Amino acid sequence: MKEVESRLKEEVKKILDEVAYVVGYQEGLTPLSARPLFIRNPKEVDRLVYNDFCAPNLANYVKKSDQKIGIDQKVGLIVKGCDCRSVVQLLQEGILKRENLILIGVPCRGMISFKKIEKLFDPLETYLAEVRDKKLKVHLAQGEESYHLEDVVFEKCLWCETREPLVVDIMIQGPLSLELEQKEKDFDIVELEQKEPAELFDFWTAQFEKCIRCYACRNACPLCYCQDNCLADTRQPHWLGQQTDALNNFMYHMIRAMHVVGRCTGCQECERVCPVDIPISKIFRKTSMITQQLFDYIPGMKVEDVPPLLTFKKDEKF
Amino acid sequence: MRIGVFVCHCGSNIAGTVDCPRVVEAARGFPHVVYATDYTYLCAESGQDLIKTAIQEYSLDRVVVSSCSPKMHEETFRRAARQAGLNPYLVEMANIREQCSWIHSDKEAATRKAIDLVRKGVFKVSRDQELFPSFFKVNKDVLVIGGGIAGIQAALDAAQGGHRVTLVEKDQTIGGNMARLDKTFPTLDCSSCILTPRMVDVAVNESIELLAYHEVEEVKGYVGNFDVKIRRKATYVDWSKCTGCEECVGKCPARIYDKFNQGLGRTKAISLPFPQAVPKKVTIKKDFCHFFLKGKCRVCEKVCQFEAINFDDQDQIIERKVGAIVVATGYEAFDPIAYLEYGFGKYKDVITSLQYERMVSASGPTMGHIKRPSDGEEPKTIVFISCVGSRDRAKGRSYCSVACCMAMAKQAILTKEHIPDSTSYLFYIDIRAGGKGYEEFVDRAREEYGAQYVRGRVSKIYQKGKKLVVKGTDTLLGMPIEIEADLVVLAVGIAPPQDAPELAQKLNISYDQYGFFVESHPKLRPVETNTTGVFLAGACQAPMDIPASVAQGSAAAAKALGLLAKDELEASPIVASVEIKRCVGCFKCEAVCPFSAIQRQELRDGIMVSNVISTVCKGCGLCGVACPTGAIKVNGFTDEQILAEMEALLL
Amino acid sequence: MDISNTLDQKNGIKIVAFLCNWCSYGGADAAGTARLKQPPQVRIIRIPCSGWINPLYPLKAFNEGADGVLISGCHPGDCHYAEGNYYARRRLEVLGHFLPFMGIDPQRFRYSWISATEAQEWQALITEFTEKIRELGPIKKHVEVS
Repeated sequence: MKEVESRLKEEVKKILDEVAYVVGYQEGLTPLSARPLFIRNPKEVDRLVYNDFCAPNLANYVKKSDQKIGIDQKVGLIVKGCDCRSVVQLLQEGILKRENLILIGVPCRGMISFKKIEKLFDPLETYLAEVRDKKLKVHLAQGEESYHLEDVVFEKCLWCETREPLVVDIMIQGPLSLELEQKEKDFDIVELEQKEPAELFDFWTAQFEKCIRCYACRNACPLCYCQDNCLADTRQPHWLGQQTDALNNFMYHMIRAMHVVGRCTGCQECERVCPVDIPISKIFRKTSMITQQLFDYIPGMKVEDVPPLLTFKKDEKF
Repeated sequence: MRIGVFVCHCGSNIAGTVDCPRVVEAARGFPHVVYATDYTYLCAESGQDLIKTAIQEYSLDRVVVSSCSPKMHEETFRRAARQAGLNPYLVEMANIREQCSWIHSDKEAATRKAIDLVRKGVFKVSRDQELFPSFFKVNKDVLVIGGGIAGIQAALDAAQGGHRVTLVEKDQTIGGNMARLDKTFPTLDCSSCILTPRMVDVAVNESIELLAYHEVEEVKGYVGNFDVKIRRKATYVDWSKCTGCEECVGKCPARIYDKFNQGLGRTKAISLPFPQAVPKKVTIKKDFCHFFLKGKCRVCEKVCQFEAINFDDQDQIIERKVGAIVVATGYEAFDPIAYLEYGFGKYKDVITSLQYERMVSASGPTMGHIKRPSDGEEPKTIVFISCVGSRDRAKGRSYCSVACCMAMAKQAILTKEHIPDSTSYLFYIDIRAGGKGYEEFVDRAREEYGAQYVRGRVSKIYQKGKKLVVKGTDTLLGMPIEIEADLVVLAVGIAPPQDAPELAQKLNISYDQYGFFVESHPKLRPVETNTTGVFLAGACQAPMDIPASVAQGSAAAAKALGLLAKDELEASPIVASVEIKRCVGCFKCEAVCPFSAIQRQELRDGIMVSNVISTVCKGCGLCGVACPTGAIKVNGFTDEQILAEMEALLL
Repeated sequence: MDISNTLDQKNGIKIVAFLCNWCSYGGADAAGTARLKQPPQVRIIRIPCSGWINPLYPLKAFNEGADGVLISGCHPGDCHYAEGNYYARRRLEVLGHFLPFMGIDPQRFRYSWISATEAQEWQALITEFTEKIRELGPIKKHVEVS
């Protein structure tokens, strides 16, 4: 991965003249996390990192806020396979313009989940970490520890179908797999669906009771681009109250669900950023499962696709 | 906010099931309600006055009328509000008749429901906004679809009113089914003699553009501004050169099914449907022409001295802009093949009433001689069977076709005139003779012409030697009856053309389970449709006879003229609008709008947002659901209003 | 001031129906004109077109305690606005599949096509649907904390 990182730095330097900025990763609070980096000059390239901890979906940082439709500003963006689907979806919806993007694809062999390792050790006390032999090896104060990668990477990485970005201008070649034991896509949802509606109701009530409506899920979602105009914030019409009880929180999450139907690419940023650990991506991934089942449509795969709820077939039957 | 609630008794229609004073009492407790009362008939002038006075006396700024369906009287009460100085869109209705008093018998439950519906109205009206209609220019031209007698009448009347008319006819001549008839009841006028002059009137009228052998391809736009695409079907004959001399017809070797004569006799691949056709021009039926099928022949081309034949002819799309459309697409005779017991299609001497009409006609394939199709002999015993494809639930045709009883009596009379020593037996269920001079006509058939009416259904027809044995029951005598007939005539019902639903979809009008187009109101708006500017005439709306079709043709024309008398029309304000500051420019609204009513609009800083062209928008609301921020909404049915209604019901 | 809802407390059933103005509302009116008796637990909200149904309406209705939600529009192909019900069909079909995942019995939700002439069909539908909702009983509601 070190090699990928150095080649990435070279490529970023090459395009700096063409773009307003490049969005990449820099080290987070610990070397075991990463956060976005906006690179405007060659000096800033030094801070760029790329490793197995680069979880954030950077597509979120070039959506409408930074690149308003009609304002032609070219931007460089580093994309992993899954993040690129968000880009494709935004291109499909006309929110991003292809000619305003330089997409640098990076290889991904599965990213390590901060939430998962947090449960195993204190990442802040970790001074060295590396991925070797299907294991995450960390040096802690009390000595070296190693963990099976299956236990520390994101679940979604265990069923990833798009490790290689679908649309790129520059591709940095590198390892695409660690040959970990794969899981059935969305198996967690299939499991949950075995429950009766009444049980599911209780399940979600418990989840929504936890929700503090911090809106982190909304803000992290690359497809939520309404910003200040979000239906959940408006008083006219008054879809929901400000109280953070299950009743109102349900409505908030339903607004999001109905707005990402047929669009959610399953990046699970919503769930990654949730401070109270609501398995919220299940809701949105479920909507994608439905649109795939009904309309044979998978979001974020082809720029020229039409989202399934913006079209119809006259003779279709369900 | 000062809301007034008015509860209508509708005589006993509502008051019989709903405790109206209790509804009023409850309404007084609803938020912002400052006045509530009940009245026997709010739609009556005195009722409307009551509302108007109350608006002024109590300074009401919102009104809920709790009475019948808004489809019935919303306009009435809005007008009353306007007359009292209130914006008409600040009136809501609670439907406590059709959707409450008429469907419940439990007074307690009905009263509670009425109270809920009034509360719903109060909650909604409190979110209502003043709305103002916009105005748009009107194109004064009229399109008439279908050149049967109804369409002819509509075209002539509209032209007489000073409008340019485009008359589109899918066949090669106008005249429709009436042209197929020999005589008409109850006067026994010769059908062609009264129809042909009307057809010629159309042809010579300079205000009428006759497009025969054309079909409507697409209709876009809206009242006052329809954009119509019309397909000119290839005729393979240059009609500007063709004189209708029929030289080519005589020489054409391809003998084909004769649609005009309902399959009695044969016609040619190049032909004129009948001698009085308007326009009198021949067409080549490509599917049967030897040249098109086998690559050689071209006899017509050789004999045509006017060089009118053009084998390279192709379909063409032409466009017209019109302000109003009259649909007069008529009917098709019901296909009796479904009645296996009658043996139509199996026995040559079982024919339809329309075939019989052609047989009796002097210009028909038998030159007016009644002959058995099987052997050409003159029949002496003729059986007529009524209600074939009418009043028959088992065949999915519950309706009465209206004209067949009379047509059957007429045919019995004509039979006797043609063959004096013949006997006609007429099987019937009931004799429907409800028209001017109709009952007398049936009496004449029976008394002067000896028509033998047999009340009952025929159960079976089978061949016995040269004869057809008709087995049935005389339900008056309660006895089985058997008649050995030479010819059987099935009085087939009136069925909508098979492509009626397709046309309805192009025009955005409704049709019923049979395919008849649906009028706006069965009594009060019989020639209007739910699409403003589209009117109905003739049997495309319901089975009807010639006088009714003609009357409807005139009525539809009058409606069109009334509409087009204005230079500008009012556009309903119930359309979508965009709250620009909330638009995020995703243009999902544009993707789903069926009417291309969404325009992209550039703001000063280069940001693109949506804009609704309000005269193009029809207010369906598809955009509003697609819009993630709720920036686009349909006036009168906003999310706020609907959420308020839900709140009122689920409180 | 008592403005609370008077829906049949005995049965405790509340059904909200959204009907399009052109077909189904007309069908319900026609059923009324024909005096076809219907259960009294249904409350109809008139909307221009089934394409105007935001899937959030039924979700909101369920969240606020509706025991059943019925939506009806013109038959596909007959939409007054040409295409409204085609979009509605997709949106509502998705919703129907989604509801059970959120713990709402899909039997509480129905969408259908009723034309302005189908008075008897409307009566049959609403009678059967109400019966089904009565069988299922009142819906479970999220707790409001105020």
